[in-house]
Amino acid sequence: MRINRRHFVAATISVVAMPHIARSQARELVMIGYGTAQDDPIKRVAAELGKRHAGVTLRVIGGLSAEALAQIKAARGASPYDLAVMGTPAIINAVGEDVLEPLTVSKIPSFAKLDPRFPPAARGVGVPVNFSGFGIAYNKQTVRTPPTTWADLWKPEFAGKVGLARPQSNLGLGAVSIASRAFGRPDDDMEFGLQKWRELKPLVGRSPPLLQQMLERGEIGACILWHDNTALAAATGLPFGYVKTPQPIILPSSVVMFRRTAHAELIHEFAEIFLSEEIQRFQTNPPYFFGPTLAGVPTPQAAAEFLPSTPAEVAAMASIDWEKVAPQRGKTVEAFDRMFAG
Amino acid sequence: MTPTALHGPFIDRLLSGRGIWPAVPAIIVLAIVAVIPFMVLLSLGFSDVVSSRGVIISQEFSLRHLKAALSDSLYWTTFRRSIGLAVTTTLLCMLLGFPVAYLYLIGGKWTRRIILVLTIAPILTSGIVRTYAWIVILGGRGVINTTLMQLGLIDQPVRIINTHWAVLIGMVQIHLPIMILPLIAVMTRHDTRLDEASANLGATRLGTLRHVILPLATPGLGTGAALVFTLSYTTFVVPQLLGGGNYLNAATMVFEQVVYALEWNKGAVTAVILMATCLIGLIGIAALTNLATRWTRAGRS
Repeated sequence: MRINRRHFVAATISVVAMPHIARSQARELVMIGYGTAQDDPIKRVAAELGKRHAGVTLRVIGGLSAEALAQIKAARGASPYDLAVMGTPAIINAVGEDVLEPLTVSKIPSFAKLDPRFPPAARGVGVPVNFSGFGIAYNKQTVRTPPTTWADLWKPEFAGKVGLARPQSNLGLGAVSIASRAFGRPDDDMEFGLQKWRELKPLVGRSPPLLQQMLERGEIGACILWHDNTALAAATGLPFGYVKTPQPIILPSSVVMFRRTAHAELIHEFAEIFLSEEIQRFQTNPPYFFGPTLAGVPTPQAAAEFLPSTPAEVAAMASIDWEKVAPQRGKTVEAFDRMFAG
Repeated sequence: MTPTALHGPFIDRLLSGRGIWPAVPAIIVLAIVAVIPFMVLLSLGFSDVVSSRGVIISQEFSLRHLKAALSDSLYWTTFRRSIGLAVTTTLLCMLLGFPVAYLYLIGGKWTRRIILVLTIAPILTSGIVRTYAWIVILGGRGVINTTLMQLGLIDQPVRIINTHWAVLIGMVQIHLPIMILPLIAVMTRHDTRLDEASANLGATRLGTLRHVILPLATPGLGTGAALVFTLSYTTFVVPQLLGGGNYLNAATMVFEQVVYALEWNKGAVTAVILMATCLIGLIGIAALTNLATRWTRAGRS
């Protein structure tokens, strides 16, 4: 047989296309997750989906939603992902980039059973499945009397001991907004929030995990941190304490679907399974500690130290005005750099 | 059946190594991973883009983003810091790397083996791993602080991590092998009879080093300096992990503008400035290397 240019090109195309053909036959969903053990509830949902539909699998890729959005933007809207669990700020950015396909809530019966405070967090495109709380994490070895309110962080005894995550992360952006709120200003007065943080001269962690490591190493005594990260660290034996502030501030996360996915029906079913009571209860337990969004799902005793658990705490839960705060991320990061790195 | 009959003329040409065919795969790879993204970068940095769902609706040439960057004090501060860091790293690597390469030149078989292992071994591990090792060493409860406290020299841990000094220490350690290896490559080609001739003519060891070995090592120093400068000027990982959240260099600035702020025009302009200034730095190093080579040759003659 003589191999000519046509044979060569055909063989190359076949080799390149083969994994894609195999993937489409196996019906693999690609999802942005956490990249940690906190993906377990997602994997549990995927396992149930796989039982219902033979050959359906889920590949969870860990990473920040912001990084995934940049990747999709670079690919000019051609998302390599089918779905994601995204916090409200990332959803606002993704809606701005027009890369999400709204989920049809009529195809998700359990949507009606959600705590009515959560659906707005999904900005009309997704299904809220859990939430994380902002709280004050502290190192018990270096801080004997922990702060009890946000404003306490500005007390003289904590000078030089407080850490902050860069505002590029939801945690850091939320912390700037919380500083505004703590001193009676609107959530979106980021200039004021940054000025308040500047007064503290905080040690800055480039990301929430790096901030947590600074707390572990004793370089800082206290910082605003996610409740689930603090709980996970404390569960491993680290000397972490956690303060639930009088009005717990939370960030709901929602299942969202990217445009051009070929698995829209499966994604709707995935969201429905995620809202089942079994999964909602499973994810609230250690070592996950996620807050449930389904009405009536109680907080287990083991997570009560970190999650709003009493009726009063649950009733007081509030979110940041992300609609106004999230679009300011770029400007806030720039202003932050002018103040702290300029 | 002859091999020609089996392959056909296309495969024959490919396997013969004639013409441009052997270079085609590399050219394609370079075009995909370097030239095309660079052109996209240029087009984004020097235009106003309106897009929807990732599709560009309109794009007009504009110098607005470049002008904004050049009139922004944050850019100047960040680039000054990046250039300062890269130059200091390069100079320290030259100062620390040359004696190691010299030891390799004059050392015995085992000395040479040990130097090679110590130089190459760190490269075998990821830069992230090596940088994390520095976190362990420089941290509040790290090896340095613990030792100083145990010796009673300090009461409280000294803050080293999350400072400019931590970044500099990490950069020098990460890039030192990149300086040593070209130096060793150049210095081992050096004709040792020149050293003997120098000694026979009454030169001291220091004199031989100054007037014979150092001039001959200049191309190696130039190559090493160019590599270390480029890598440390555009580095991302070390400042990210050792500098703390309020340490900003040019590469982290590009990353944050593109990924977190989704401001691609800004990110593209910053990347173009980064590339242009890096190129100027490389031209400067090449010119200095040529000058040093000519000067030392003139000195010898």
